[in-house]
Amino acid sequence: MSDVRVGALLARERLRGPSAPAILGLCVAAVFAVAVLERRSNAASAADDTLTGAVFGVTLPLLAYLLSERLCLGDRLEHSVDAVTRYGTHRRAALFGLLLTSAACMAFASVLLAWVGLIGARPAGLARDLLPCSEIALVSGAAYGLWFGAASRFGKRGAGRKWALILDYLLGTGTSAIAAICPRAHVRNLLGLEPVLGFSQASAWLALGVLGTASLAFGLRRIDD
Amino acid sequence: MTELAFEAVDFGQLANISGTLSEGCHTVVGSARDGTGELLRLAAGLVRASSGRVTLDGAQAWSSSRVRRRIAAVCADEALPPGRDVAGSFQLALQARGDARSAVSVLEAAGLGAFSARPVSSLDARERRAVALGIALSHPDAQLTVLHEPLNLLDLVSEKYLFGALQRLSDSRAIVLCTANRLEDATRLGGEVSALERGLWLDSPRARLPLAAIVIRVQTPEPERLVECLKRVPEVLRTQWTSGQEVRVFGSEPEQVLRSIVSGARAAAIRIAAIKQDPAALEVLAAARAGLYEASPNVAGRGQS
Repeated sequence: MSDVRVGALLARERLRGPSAPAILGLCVAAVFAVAVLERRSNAASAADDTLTGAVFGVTLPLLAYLLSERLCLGDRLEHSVDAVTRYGTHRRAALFGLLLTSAACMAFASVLLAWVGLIGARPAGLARDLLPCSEIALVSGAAYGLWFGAASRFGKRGAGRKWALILDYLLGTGTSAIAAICPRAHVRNLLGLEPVLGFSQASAWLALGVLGTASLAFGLRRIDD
Repeated sequence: MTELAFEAVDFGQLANISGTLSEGCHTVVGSARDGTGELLRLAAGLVRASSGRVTLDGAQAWSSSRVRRRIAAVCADEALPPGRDVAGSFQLALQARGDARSAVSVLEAAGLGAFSARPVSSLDARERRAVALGIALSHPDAQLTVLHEPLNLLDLVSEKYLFGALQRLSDSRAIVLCTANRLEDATRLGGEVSALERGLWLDSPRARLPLAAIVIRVQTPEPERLVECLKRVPEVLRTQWTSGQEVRVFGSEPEQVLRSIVSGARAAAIRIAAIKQDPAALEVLAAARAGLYEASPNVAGRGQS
């Protein structure tokens, strides 16, 4: 348990400093600006357009990618905890802590972005939309955090992250079987857009949960002590 | 009895290193080019050997956190754990090895208290190594301590602290493996002294001289390719080619070197016009007669698995 905590502490230390809050602040400002512009253009669909586009479509995956890059120090996931495992911390436990911290940070950032998007778009039932929107943001943020963590197992110096981002942008908007491995496809389903493989919205929740859990399991697979 | 074992290890400069180190202090003389840094990183379990095994009491440090927890290490290039300041970074290192002490008190005890409040990013390479030395020597229960050129840090860490810690480790029947780039430093560190020369681990630093005792001159129309090809041959210690068609090949065992040149050239389809061995230099012959050049690796080096 203490080794999991060491992994989480390592992640916290890597996020310390002005750049991580600055990037989050920039994203929040950008989402708010887009939401205001959407409201001025078409107030009726502003909230939907902001959430599907600026929040969950662009900012969330990009932020998850940047966070993963930062936590792994631009390297493969398994090397990201070398700074503490050399002193005897259990490698898999430290990675578990690091990935959980990544998921928690993304869940928080995602909820923040969704709220800012909604507040900027100011829909008629703002108070009513906040809770379901937060739930979607919480689950999708965590799933994205874990998904990019698993992608960091691939490629030289974790280049799989980059491919995961491209894959999510290019294929995540589809409804085919290949889109089902991208978090974006299920998030779009939850937001009321076309479902992937005809999944219901309840299945989309489950799919995001499975995707996150599978990513976590894959991230920790075949890691030496 | 604690034992550090290298079993036919290949990694970087090191090729086919085998041998065991028991309790006490061991100093390896050599430079980074000889593979001292790689030897220590392997021993500390920071990297996995390309082939072979490095074990501490039968378990591989790379794949066992339990073993790594009993190892303290300072490498040639240190990256400290992240932290707001040195004390924060030090604290994370202590937590990572399950040590509940306060970082500030341990830093003070090591004479590194002045670093406590400094940001980690403001430390230069030597200062980072000094802090890493503080982390390593504060290990309360290390069975293996590996230190890369610790005497180079004596202006940052007090001599009394360093030698006191080394004495304590020796008394506690731990293995201490140090490297030094000068024989004088190795003598100061004490214990058993051996040498690394281009990946060869030798019994005594005195055995370094004969490694280039034989010179073979090879005439070839493709000297550049031959030099490139011989770089990968373990028996060849050095090649020299400036211009013309003659390549000078340095080694220790004439027959092995000749065989390697011929087989290497044949594999790369390089034509050899002539091969001739230079007579050994007079000082080498004299030293050999005096018994100084008895190259008997205590741990098998390249080609001696």
